[in-house]
Amino acid sequence: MNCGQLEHLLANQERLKKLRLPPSALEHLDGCPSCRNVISSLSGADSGGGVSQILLDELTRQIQRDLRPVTPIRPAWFFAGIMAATFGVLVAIGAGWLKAAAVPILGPARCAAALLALGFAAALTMDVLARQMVPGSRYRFDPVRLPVLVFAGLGAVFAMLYPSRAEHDFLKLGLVCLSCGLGFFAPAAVIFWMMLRRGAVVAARPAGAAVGLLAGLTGTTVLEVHCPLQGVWHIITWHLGVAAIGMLICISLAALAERRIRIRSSESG
Amino acid sequence: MGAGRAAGKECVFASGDILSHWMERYQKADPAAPQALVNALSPVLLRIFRLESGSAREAEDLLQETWLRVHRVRHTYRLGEPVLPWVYAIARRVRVDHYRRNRRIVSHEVQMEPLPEAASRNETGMLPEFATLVAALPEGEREVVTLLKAGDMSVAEVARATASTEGAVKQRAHRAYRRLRRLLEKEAPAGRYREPRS
Repeated sequence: MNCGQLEHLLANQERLKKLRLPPSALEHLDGCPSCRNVISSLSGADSGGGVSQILLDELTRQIQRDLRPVTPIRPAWFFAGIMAATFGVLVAIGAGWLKAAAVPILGPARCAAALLALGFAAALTMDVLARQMVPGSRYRFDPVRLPVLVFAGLGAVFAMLYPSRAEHDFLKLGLVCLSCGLGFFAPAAVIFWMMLRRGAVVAARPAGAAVGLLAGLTGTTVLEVHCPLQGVWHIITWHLGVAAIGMLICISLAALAERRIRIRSSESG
Repeated sequence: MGAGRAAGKECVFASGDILSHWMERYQKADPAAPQALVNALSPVLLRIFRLESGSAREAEDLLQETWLRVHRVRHTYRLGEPVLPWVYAIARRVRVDHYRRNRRIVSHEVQMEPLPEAASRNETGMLPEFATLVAALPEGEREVVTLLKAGDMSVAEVARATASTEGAVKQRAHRAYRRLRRLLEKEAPAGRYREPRS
């Protein structure tokens, strides 16, 4: 075993205080002082002194002064359900109001594939958003990488489904789609944001990104059902653009809100 | 979480089930619950804060703010979930807000701090303390190693506490151990880890 392999082995240990090292690792340690020192530093006793009981009693008193029963937050599936219902209702309203003009042009199979991809992306985002409401939640997907996965995945799916063709009035027609999509993004963002406030978000920007992405995907899905333009660049730029812009808007708002809270709390001492 | 271990006047490192029980009582406003939780969790939180901030006074301020925030969001704890990652995720937020409020720059894209000059040995040839070693690590790696060592958390718990995945935690740990080894290589091979003064 070499140093790199031992580092890899250490990184895969479940707990540092219960190291399980195979004979080959122990053999390496016998001959490698620097690895021995790493193990020693990681498994040695902690310094830092004790905790003052006066401090602990004061903390307890502060909490007990304001002790009232609270209702525990609902399970994640409850909030994911509300998000799914919101997503579905808004898409249905959009399809009903604007007319599902894309469906006969795209065909049922391709339309189903596009909606399935969008539904899957939305479901992943709902999962991350529901978990962000509770500190210390277990994540299946890294919340920071989720937008990259979503955009790359949807971009690839749309590139396969839609033909590349010359697109006239790319900007003019694109802006129409963008404003229409953002019109559905806005109410979705408000509903998802209000729901998020039920929890305790510990990372404002990733939470803002997830809200914006999910609300943006709502707008994108409405456009997929309604917009008769089928050029791949129109779809990727303007329809997916709704999700991207929505995400950026919500990240900015989250950062602003966080900054205001911080300023207010520093002013109040 | 590991089994309980008494540490004199320092508080018992309670098992996950006991902490979960007290969290349930806390949500139901049982007056004994806050004391049990504060006594059980404060030592490990304080240890982590001291390692991360380097200041005992600041660590106590952070501890106090953390408990106030825990109290405000106690409704978000779900029964049966591990308590320490939940508390640490809140503590982490408190630490970030505290530093930003005090105009310290905290970033997840921290430039790698230059490894310190090979710490000079004392006369007995002892190596630098753990706190000094981890201070040389970038923030993400320092946090992971601190939680694994001082917090005695498992990889899964650290992943929850840092809103990350187990793979990402293992990757950061791997990089941290590599940096520590290179740092310690600057010390003479015969060096021995210094036991902290009690």
